[in-house]
Amino acid sequence: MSDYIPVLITLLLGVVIVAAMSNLNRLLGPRKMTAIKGEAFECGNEATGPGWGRFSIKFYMVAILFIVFDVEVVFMYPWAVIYRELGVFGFVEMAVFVLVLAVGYAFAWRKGAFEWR
Amino acid sequence: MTQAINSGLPLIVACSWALLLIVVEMFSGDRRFVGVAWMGVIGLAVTAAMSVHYASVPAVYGNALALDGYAVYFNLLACTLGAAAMLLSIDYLGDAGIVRGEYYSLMFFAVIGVVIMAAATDLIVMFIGLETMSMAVYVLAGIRKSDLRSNEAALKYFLLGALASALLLYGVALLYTITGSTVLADVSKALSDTQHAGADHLVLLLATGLVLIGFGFKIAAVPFHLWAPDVYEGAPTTVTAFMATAVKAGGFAALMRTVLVALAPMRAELAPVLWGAAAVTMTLGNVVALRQTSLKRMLAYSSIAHTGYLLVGVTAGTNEAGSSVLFYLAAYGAMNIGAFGVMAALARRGRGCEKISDFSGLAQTHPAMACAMALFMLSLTGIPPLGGFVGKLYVFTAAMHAGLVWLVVIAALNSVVSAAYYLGVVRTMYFDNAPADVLPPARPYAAVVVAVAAVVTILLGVAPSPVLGSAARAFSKVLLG
Amino acid sequence: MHAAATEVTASLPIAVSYLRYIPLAPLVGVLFHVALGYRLGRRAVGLVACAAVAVSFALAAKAFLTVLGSAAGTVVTDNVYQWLSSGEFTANVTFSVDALSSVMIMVVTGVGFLIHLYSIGYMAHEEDYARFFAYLNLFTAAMLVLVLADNLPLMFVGWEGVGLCSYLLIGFWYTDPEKASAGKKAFLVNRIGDAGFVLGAFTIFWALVDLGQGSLTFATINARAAELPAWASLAGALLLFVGATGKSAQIPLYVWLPDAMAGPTPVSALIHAATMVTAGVYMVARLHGLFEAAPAALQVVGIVGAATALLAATIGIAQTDIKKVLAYSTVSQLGYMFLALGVGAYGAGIFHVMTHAFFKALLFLGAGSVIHGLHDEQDIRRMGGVAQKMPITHATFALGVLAIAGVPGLSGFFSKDEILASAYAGGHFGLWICGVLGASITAFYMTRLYVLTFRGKFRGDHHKWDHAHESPIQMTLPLMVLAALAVVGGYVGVPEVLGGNNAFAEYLAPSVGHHQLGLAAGTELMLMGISVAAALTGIGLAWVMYSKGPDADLILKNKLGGLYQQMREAYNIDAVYDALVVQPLMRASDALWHSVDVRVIDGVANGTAAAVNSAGEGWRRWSTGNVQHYMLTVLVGVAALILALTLSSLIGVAG
Repeated sequence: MSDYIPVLITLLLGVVIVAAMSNLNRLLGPRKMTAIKGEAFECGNEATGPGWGRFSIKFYMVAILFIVFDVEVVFMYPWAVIYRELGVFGFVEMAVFVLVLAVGYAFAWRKGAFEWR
Repeated sequence: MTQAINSGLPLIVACSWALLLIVVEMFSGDRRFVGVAWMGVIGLAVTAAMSVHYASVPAVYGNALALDGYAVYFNLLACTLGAAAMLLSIDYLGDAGIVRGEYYSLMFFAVIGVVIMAAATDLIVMFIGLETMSMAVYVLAGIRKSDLRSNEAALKYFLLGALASALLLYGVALLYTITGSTVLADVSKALSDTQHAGADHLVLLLATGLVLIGFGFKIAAVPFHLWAPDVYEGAPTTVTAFMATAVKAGGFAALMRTVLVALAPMRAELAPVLWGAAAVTMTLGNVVALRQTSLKRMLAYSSIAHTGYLLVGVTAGTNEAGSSVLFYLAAYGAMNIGAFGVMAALARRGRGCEKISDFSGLAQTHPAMACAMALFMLSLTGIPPLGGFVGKLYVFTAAMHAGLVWLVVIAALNSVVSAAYYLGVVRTMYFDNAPADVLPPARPYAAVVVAVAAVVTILLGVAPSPVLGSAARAFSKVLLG
Repeated sequence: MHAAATEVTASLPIAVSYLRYIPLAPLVGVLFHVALGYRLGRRAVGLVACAAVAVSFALAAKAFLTVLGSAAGTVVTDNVYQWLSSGEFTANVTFSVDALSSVMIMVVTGVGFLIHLYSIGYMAHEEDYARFFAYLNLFTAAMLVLVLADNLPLMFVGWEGVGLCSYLLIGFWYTDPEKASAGKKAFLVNRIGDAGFVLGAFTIFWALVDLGQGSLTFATINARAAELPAWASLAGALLLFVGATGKSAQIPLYVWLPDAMAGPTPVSALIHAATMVTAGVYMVARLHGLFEAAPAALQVVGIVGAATALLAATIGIAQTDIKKVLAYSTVSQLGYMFLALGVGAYGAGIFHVMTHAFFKALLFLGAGSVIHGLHDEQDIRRMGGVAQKMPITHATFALGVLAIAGVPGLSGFFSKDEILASAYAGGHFGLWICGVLGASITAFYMTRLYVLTFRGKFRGDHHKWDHAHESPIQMTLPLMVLAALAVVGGYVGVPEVLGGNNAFAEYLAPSVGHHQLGLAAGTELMLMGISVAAALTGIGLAWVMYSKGPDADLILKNKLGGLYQQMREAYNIDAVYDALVVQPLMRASDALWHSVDVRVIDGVANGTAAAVNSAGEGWRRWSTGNVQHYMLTVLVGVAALILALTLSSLIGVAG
């Protein structure tokens, strides 16, 4: 049971930080409501509109790339935990994995996926 | 350990080669694709050669992968078909306005997917192969970014393909809950060792059905064929050529291993379903093909019909039938690569070569191309002594031997119907007058591919023994017990 | 008495390696025409085409003489290589010549050579000369494979090959869409027969495997047919006979042959009269052991043959196109051959194949000569008196008419008489009546054809008359040779009652067995008398009626009423097929296509406006339901499949 106490602490910390962040500005900042500020998001897309409205493909590009590298990091955590047990084999495996991703990264870069055109 | 590395080596090399292709394409500028194409072809040749060299029977990586005869056969088939499609693409792409360098590496990855599907002896690995292949092909189908049809085809293919993949994965998961394994041989053992009754039995049926659907989609079996005509028509011709041959081979490679090995104990339940699927698939494909005016669409329905013929072999499920399916796939590959190759060789931007009427009087303007096309059509019809005939003969003989008399009767009647539309193409080429604006001369690379395909089609009919022999050897160790 | 043909002599093989060159020679010709034909010109093409067939003829003659000169039952074989082999199923490319196939190769190469020669003149003005001869040589090669094959799969190669060439040659004048569709019809109808052929071969093969001898060589099938289970021999024989009805234009698959007359006339002569259409007859004779093991099937063969002989003859009366008359007469004569097979008189059937090849090729080539001379006039109502302008054609054609009518002394008389006598002797009285009636009608319409074409006054356009001329020597020489054969060809099979020794039947006996008539000499002579009388009645009646010109048709029309119209329109069988088979299939195709397979891309591809708004269009369509429709279908499929699996498992449990 005691193994899970750190998890619980992390969870609590998460809740506290989010709660603090979202409420702190309410306490500290000036509050002048305008119509635009009242919208759900102040940047990006229109908040209202037809249900089948379209988003620019650029957003998806960023999202996809984000997910790809996010998942990469997720893979690295368990690997890091047992890194010493795996030894050279583990290092080579991860190097190959990162290399493959690096090629993909270079490809995306070269093809202009990062340019906000 | 050594054996594990050796068995995996062809795949490792192939993957590295595909990555290398990406890198080379990245820095090769937008126009110089010929070199990349050749690199791809060489890579496929190396993969094929290595798979022959390192072939061995036992499975490796915890029974997940086996570079056995079956895998090697499909490896050779997929690499050959992939290389042919790449060579067809060389001149076609630039003209069609496709200047996407990643074309060849995507095709390479798709071949790798097929190879994995054939070599997999574990359902999860098979799934990975299927997805590797599918993802690459989704993109290839839509690679003509400015072309609306290509876009829509890709979108449709992707959406339906994703659905099918999900169903397949779900089926695999259910199968795992029942049998406790995803390794084909273990699944089979678990299924035959214990009798499943009640709820377990229903889950088992559900799992079997879902797995069948996943593969049924890839091979375009009715009623999971709906994507095929649209996608075949919308995709660039060279991609269609690849899909019709290599992708279908991959689907059958995986389907046969799954149905005939893992699900072998379910034979009693599966046989009637496969029987019906075969009958409906070939009949629908042939009947609807009768009224098509677009050659690509017609060939799409024809490919559905051929899926039906191949399913006859899968339904029979004997050693004999399995090897006849393997042979049929080779013959089918040769004649379809050829048929699409003729289209790719003559197509020019703004001057589609996709309607049957575009081929009017081809015998006068392009005698060699017309002759080759006629040959492919006759082979598809099943006229001796061409490859298609021998393939059909073997599948049907094997099915007859397995007692599927009525299915063979249906198949024979179907091949009567099919003659009508294949012959329509021959008639258009030979008996109609050429239009005033004659089609341009055939492209050199494509012409060579077409010529080779024609020779192979004839050889598979006149001297089929070597390929038949290797198909029989390749299949001989697949079935358990 | 139904003479059994079981006492076939055991075969004595002689291994050789020249038989392969018999079909190979014309094949080399094909390659020559395709590769060099257009460069080297007409003369070279014609020369090579004829030379190729001449080589085949010489080799065929060598094989024939070997068989003739050796002990009875000699078979010359040439084993080229093992073609198919997997598991139990093997087939070799092996050619063999026995008594039966030696007759066929002689006819195919001999008549074939004459027709090639004739074509040089007939096709002289044709643009695509090389292509025509390429097809013609290819046909010869395929036909030779068919005849020389020693097993069913190899025979099927030739079987399909001749069908394909026939298709290509019918559609040869491709400017005319009607001709192209006639070719397609021929091919499709033949495909139906082919399906029967293949299924029949499968049936026999697996039945033989059960006996422990999986093989499809004719020798094995015939030898072991008696041991097959009754259902297997019956089903196999009937299915193969379906194949025969397709190729040999019998009820119900005869409809393609009259349309096939759209092809060039030498083609009609070679393929649709002398050789290809007899393939079915040859096949049944080749497999006589199998058919004898299934007497019911043999009975079907006889009945279908007799019915076809009679039906086609009645249609022949009312036709006005010179080639159509000959086409229906071919269908009718083929019926006689099957009648012969059906009563077990294989020798008589093959005898008629041979004599028919002579006189029908002669008649077709003669008709071609007339058409050629009259500048493509084919309607006999606009002919007449052609004898004056074309004396050689006239004389030879007249001999052909007399031969087919069965006038004593000419070849047709001997073969037809033997068939009818066999039918009577076998106790098939009904078949005999049909045969005699058909013979009389044949004599009638052939005489009508002759009189309207060559006698009386010319009734057509006088320009055509002024330019009418006798054909060149390349065309008349084959006519003369064939006329000679049509006259003397029958003397190889003079029956004993007329003082002959029936050498032809004697020669064929090792292949197809003896067929003893077992009739008293008096009965036989009486039968002969009846059929001669029938023929002469037909000739006389037609002569009297049509000497006054084609208006005599009206007499028949008044007498027969609606039936005559039906005869002229060939009983509208085509319309029946169209309504029963073609239209339903097409409707099903449309219905399935539109209901099951919604066509999404079509509208998009055609609309340029849509392309401008490209990204949106895809979404719009996806959201308006097409992909949902697809997915729904998939899900319905999922449900159906799982339901089916459940059902089949329930049945499995119950069973």
